[in-house]
Amino acid sequence: MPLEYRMQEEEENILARWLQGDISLEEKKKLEETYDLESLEAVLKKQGELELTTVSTSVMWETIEEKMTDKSTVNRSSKWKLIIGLIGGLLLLALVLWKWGSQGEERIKAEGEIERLHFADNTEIDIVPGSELSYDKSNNLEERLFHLKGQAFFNVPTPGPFTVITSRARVEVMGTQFDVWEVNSDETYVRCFEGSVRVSGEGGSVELNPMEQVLLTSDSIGEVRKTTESEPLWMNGTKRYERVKLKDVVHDLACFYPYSFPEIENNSVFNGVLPLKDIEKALDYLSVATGKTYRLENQKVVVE
Amino acid sequence: MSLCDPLVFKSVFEELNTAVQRFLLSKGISLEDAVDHTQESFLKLWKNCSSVPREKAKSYLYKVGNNLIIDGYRRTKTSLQWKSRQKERVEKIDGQYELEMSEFKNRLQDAIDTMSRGSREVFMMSRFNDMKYSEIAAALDISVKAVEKRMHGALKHLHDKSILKKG
Repeated sequence: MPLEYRMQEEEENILARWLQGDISLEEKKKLEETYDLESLEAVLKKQGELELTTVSTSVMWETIEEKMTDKSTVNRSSKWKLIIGLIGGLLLLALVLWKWGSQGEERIKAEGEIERLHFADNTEIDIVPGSELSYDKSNNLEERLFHLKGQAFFNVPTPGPFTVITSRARVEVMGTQFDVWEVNSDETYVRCFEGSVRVSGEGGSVELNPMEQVLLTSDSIGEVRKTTESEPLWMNGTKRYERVKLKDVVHDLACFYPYSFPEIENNSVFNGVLPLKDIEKALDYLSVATGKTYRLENQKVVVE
Repeated sequence: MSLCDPLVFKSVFEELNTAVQRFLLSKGISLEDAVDHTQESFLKLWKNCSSVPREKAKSYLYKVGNNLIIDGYRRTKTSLQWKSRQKERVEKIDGQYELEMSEFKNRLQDAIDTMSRGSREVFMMSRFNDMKYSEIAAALDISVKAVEKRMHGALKHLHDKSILKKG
């Protein structure tokens, strides 16, 4: 294993090894230069005093025992009953499979809050409020082809084809974690956080590596730029806008807040980070940045 | 010691019920779903009691529970419920401890909610289900190195959130 790679690997798991007491004194000293291990230890100690609420064994057992008895009844039932039940089950299964197979396109729109989807291949997709994801349900697991309107974060742990299509971009997964934001019908941002993705559009295609982003427009692919984020900020309650038209920023904010936002036609470009869980602050920042007053009045955002 | 013996099965249930519920909660599903899946997993184990050896019961239950979650897809929201491991102690000391813990719980919940999913899953399994890295790796079908990497991410996130310092 090349030394450089090995060092990186050790860096990436050193806190986990520290927790297990599996590091040397020298490593610990070095770790202390970056981390406040004492505070972290205190947090973990306090966390250790908590446990997850679960349902007690006695309560659970009552239900289980009852259903176990059902099984004994089945065992005692006649052979004919079993055969009839089996045929009925098969018919039901065929009906379910037929119905499932014929359902075709699945369309999911996140309303009001982030919608999280889990798939059988362990893929996880977080859809931003107001955004819509669609896919062919009947052969989704083989094809893994998604159409996106809006923004979503994709965590794709298993290799193989996986494609996301927006109006301007085609993103093919070669690795694991990435974020796609269709800002409007002409612009799509793609950011890669882990692994790599190939992004194609009218202007050609480009490969993104971790912490890189690119903007696709109707006729070009922008320059690949570095991002400092290791995961999308919007998942933590804020969002970074870089050179995004103000009208698109306001439209985007409207997806995160349960208030009515005005349609504005301001094409000037906005740069900055806006909170997604504090409307007053978000409007304050917008006011400062644009020189206009954005405020909330009777569940409506007004601009003066 | 066959699992088809109701007494043996009950003892396995008593031993593993909480662990299976916690494992499923680590996957980010609600308590209600975790309870449903736990019951279903145990019933499946009972139905297949003759083909599952006693020592494989735990991994079998984790696998069935995991499959129930990812079967098709399921929309989930993280909504964990906490309780203190030392409830008696809370009552004996005074309200101060309870207040501190309540604030800490909120900050911890916030920190866990904002972890990446992979890190959160591993952190929860390790810290709330006392699973070893090797056990987590087997349950998630990933390497121990990958578990360590995710755990590192979780600890770094907790550190960066500085949840103890605020307040």
